[in-house]
Amino acid sequence: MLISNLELIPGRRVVEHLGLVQGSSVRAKHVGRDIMAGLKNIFGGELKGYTELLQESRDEALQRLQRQAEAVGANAILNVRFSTSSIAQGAAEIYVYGTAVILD
Amino acid sequence: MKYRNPRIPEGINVSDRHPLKELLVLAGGALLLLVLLSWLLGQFGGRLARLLPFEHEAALAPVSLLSSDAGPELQAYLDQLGGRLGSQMAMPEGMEVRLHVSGGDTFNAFATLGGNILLYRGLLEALPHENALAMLLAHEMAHVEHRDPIVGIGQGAAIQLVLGLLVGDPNLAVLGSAGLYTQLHYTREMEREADTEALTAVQGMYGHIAGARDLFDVIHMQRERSGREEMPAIFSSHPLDEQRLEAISALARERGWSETGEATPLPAAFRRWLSEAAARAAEARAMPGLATSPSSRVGRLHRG
Amino acid sequence: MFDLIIFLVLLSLGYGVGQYAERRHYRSIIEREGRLNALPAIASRYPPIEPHYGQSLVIGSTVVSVDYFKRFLAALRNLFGGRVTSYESLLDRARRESLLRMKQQAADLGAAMVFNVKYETASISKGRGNTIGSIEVLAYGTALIEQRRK
Repeated sequence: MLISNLELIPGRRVVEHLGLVQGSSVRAKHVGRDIMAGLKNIFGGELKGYTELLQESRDEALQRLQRQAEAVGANAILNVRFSTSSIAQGAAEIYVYGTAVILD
Repeated sequence: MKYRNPRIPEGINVSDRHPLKELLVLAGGALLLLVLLSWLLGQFGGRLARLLPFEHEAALAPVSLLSSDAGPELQAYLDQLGGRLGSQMAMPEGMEVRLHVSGGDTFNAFATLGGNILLYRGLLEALPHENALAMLLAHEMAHVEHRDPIVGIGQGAAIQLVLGLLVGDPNLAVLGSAGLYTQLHYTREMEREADTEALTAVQGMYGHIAGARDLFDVIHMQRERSGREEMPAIFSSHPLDEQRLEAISALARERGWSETGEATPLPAAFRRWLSEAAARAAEARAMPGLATSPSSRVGRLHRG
Repeated sequence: MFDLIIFLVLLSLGYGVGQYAERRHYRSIIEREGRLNALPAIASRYPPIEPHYGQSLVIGSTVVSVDYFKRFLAALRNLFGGRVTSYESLLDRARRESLLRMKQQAADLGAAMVFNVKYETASISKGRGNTIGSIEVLAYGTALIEQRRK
């Protein structure tokens, strides 16, 4: 499955547009990460715990995006965009969407 | 360029975990974790608190709440009784017990920091004979000997502190009860041990524990009279009255103590002393600027 | 004791009513998606050049509220980490509803398709303390309306 945030793929033609597909994932941090983040607030540095959390979340969202595209029979997803939003205290939603297409 | 809109199947962006099952697993896990953590913290806090030397406790005692409405005769009588009981218990060096009487009609007695014990007239009035009074005194003195007041504060503080940090989310406030439950558990343990120690002292002094049970009967009757149902054991800080009586009988059987015997009567002037204390307390209340009779919880609150 | 009872009552209310409302909403969403199936929504930015289309910005937005049960479950999740499944369905519903409203607006204008669809998610109130939290999802795009030939 080709995932791209370009409009067109040079050298390949879009045969058919199959509509919008989306993948989303909401993950919560846990107390351990929280405590580490609290300490980092004093000492500074990268919040590795949160970075990992968001990375896992994004991977899962991308996986779901792919599943949706496969379900509609596409072989590529173009014009992919990400959106991160804070839903509630301590939970962030990663949302990715794009157009499912069939390339020749 | 064709544009189609095929139907996307459900369930890709939603997990199919049943919400109730998830709630059970998460809530159950959280409660278990919190109870265990509170227990651990209680141990830690208690041990830390015990390190505070007894002499310094006196500085922390809530002096303003300890009224002394007892006249010289009542105070002397209580002190000699306390002294005789103290010689039966293994009081460590430097531990001094100070008995105070409040003329208020609250039905209670408690031991607090610095070896201070406060007895309310309301409870003293209801005691039928000296053995019951001795049991009451011995129980409170046992709390002092075990350093229950300061240990209780240490446990409570440790539990509240860390639970507050961890469970900071106000949505989860209901889980704070887990910490409370653990605190109650510790309190009940303390009461049981105080009972055992007190019984031993009473047995040593009188040669039998006949009057000891009467103390609990008196308390039980008062509870019934005041109409308050005994809460289920889980929520009450004291072992249920029946459980206490059973524990006493079991201990007596184990150590071969006699549960029957003559109860030593209270001195004839006891009632008079108590009404004098009541009058003194009423005077103190009437005079502006003086502290009114204590009614708030301080440190550990023990129902005789 | 009393607090516990109130809490349990709120929790069961949240669960019961929340689940019922969710199922009803999903049924409505699926039914409307079927009806608006003919109108594609595309994330691409380059519309077909011919035939010539008139354009119009179309918007669909939804604000969904969290119920007591979901909030409690999410708070518990915050202790242990992992997927907050209670919020997933909430956001899924909000997004699909917004998209449907946008498509509905486009359909009312007689559009043939909607291009450059974008989403915005915002939390209206995060639910600090005892206030209810709610989430707004906005879907917007450009509707291409077939011009009637003169």
